[in-house]
Amino acid sequence: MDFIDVRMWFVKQGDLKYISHLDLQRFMQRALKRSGLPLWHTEGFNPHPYVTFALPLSLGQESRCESVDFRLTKPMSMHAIKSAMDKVMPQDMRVLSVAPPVQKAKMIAFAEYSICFPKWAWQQNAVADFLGQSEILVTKRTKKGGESTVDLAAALQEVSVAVREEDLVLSLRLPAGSSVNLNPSLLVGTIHEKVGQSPYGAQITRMAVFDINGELFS
Amino acid sequence: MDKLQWEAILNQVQKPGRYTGGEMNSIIKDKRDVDIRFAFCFPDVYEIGMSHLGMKILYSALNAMDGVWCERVFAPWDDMEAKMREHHLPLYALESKDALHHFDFIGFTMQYELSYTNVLNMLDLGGVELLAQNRGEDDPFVIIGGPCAYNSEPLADFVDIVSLGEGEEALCELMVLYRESKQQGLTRKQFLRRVADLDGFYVPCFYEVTYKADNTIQAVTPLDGVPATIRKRIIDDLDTAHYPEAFVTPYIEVVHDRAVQEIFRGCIRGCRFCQAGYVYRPVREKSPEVINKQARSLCDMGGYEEVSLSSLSTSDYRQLPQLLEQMLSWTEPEKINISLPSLRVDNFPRELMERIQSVRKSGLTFAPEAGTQRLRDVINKNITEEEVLRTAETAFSGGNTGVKLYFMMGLPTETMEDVEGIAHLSQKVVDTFYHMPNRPKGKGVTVSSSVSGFVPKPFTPFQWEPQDTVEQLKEKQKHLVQTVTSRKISLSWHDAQVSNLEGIFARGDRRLGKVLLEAQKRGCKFDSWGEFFNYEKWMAIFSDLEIDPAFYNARKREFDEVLPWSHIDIGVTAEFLKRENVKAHEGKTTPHCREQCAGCGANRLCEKGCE
Ligand code: SF4
Repeated sequence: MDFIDVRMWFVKQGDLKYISHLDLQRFMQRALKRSGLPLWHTEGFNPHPYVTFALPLSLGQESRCESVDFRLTKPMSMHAIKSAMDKVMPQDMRVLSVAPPVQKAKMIAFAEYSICFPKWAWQQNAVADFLGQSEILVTKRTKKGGESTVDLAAALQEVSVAVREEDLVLSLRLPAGSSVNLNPSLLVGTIHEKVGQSPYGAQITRMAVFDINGELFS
Repeated sequence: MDKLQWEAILNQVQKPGRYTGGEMNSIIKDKRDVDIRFAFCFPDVYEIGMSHLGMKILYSALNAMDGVWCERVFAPWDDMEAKMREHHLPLYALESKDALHHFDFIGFTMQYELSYTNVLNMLDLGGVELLAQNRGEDDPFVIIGGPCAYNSEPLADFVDIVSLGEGEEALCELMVLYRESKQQGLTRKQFLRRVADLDGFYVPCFYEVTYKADNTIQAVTPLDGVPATIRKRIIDDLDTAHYPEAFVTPYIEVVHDRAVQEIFRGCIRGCRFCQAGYVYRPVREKSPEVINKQARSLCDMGGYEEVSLSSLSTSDYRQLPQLLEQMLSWTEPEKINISLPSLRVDNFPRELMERIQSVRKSGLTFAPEAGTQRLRDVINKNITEEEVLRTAETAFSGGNTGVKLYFMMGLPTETMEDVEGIAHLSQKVVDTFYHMPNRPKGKGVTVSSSVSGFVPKPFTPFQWEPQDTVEQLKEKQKHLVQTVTSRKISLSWHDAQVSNLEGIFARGDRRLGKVLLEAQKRGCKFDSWGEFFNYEKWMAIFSDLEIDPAFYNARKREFDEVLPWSHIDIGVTAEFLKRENVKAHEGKTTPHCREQCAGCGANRLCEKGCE
């Protein structure tokens, strides 16, 4: 059966950062159903609207650049699709844009994050020194339940350590591909372990996603 | 609430989505437009509470009123509770995040006895004084409703108001009365006195209970001229009653995450063990047109993939085929499943069956409740062995190889022969499979028989009966295990200790308030959860307070005993329940209401009588 691929960009922020990836999938199917768009359904015993997400976001993290792909059975203007979705998406998950997909999700290689440590500005130098080391070895749990050691210093790119009022704000790029992938929470954990515990933890926001050539994923 | 600290806490607990609110269709009002704040609490976790239809109806009905804002509260899991206590964060409502003690009303829906400790724990976490008599002029009113409210005596020390019966009209009247009383500057006590005159509301502090030397009740005496008996409320016409246009749609996965459309209330069957079968009488149906319209709205507004038709016994809805025809006209193209719980498939039209996916599967569960025809007659469970086997055959020929059977153990007059009957009936289902020439090939059959301990409930013909002790139940379980010979039968039980505690509170009186208070102090909560239930702790509390639990559940009561709930009128008369009890002991059945009215008395509640 013929269908049209659509990629929708949206934010995930505020209290909705506490919605897990699995729950987001169910929510998105419902939002699509409520939108009244001519959805393409998966075939089989229990048909449901087709949805797929480019890069799952961890529970508790925010994002300014989430994307979901779905399929329509009839062509429609991107503008009309966006207004249908605007009606069913909550404020903390509002739609940024709707467009035909450019790259395939498997092309994704890096993601840029902003990490805010509330009321921790006074630790700016300590954190900058820590991140400036030539080697930062950490143990990472692997999918198979084992452990592996990675060098964070080699993986980190475009790091900046800034202060915004009382808060300490890091900005950096991490590998996010299917073969190498580093969750920013690993970095936060390491900082808490090696530099000290910040009073209110850290707020992680995904800012942008790039492909293997350094082009914006779109 | 300190947002940064709150987020730091949420980052450290499991399933933080339980505590954030902000779901689709949740209702946020401007506090400046609101003069009555109602916190609707479900005394269990979010995932269970959010699956409950009654809460959705009342949330919607209260919020439909100008100036009233009803919000939701659930019991935090113990990781969250520990963090809240550590950081002095009081229990809050999901919509406004305001602490419980700021509300005018705190309502609890009481679905099962084992959630009583959660009520106390939630009040405590919310900064609310536990004992009603200690609450002051500015404190909230604590109100309860739901099935356990029919005998609310164990909770009487903690609640100000009990709502009896269906609440959607009654609660709104209570809100109006509260607003008037506030405008007139009435005191807490004066307001409560007025509530006691409002139909369907029981205010325990105006009823004095005195006891005899043998611990049974001497009398329940109304004080200050309040009515001697309090009658439950019902909705006369369900077609015009309030029903939500949309459900709050949770983000996180909950137990039943689907549209639920009520089709009728009450039950015609009269199974003698079933409290719901009596307290919700008389039967009142919604018309197919109204049901169809309401169900469609729920699906449109929620994006659901499944709509479940809700009632005590789906097959007894008289226009079921007409209703399904109407609904299928839009559910089929929109790929929405219709789910029909508790449907008897034996006389369901074949053509419809094939169009409803869930029905194709629903031959899988069956509740004979007792193992022998004799005992099924005693409990008035109108199912024959032949019907069970025929249904199993239908299920098998549809390709199913697993059947689930539900039984009870410890029913009045039960003998070891009846217990063996559970094994025998299960075996006959297994045999049915192997006798079928057209059985699913290459597969074995599994019959899962689930056996729960019978708990006598108030307002049933068995309200006078002794409950089996834990030892008796264990003895019977052992016997049943020995009787089962086939490995195709898998047996499972409900914990006999859990049934025992449930039975104590189900028919408890006011003196159990002290037990609950002490239990909360000693950390009892989530008693319906295996990981929290601690029977030894409970028994230690009873013995420390010198209260004999067997007085409440293991004792046979005489017909002339004053029961703790005898001042509550559910429409069904005590005389009728006595007649049914006598018939049970004679092994005589009572036909269902549409075959022949048994004169239970419930028709007096409704202008148009029973449907
Ligand atoms: S009055 Fe008769 S028909 Fe109505 S509920 Fe009672 S027994 Fe059934």
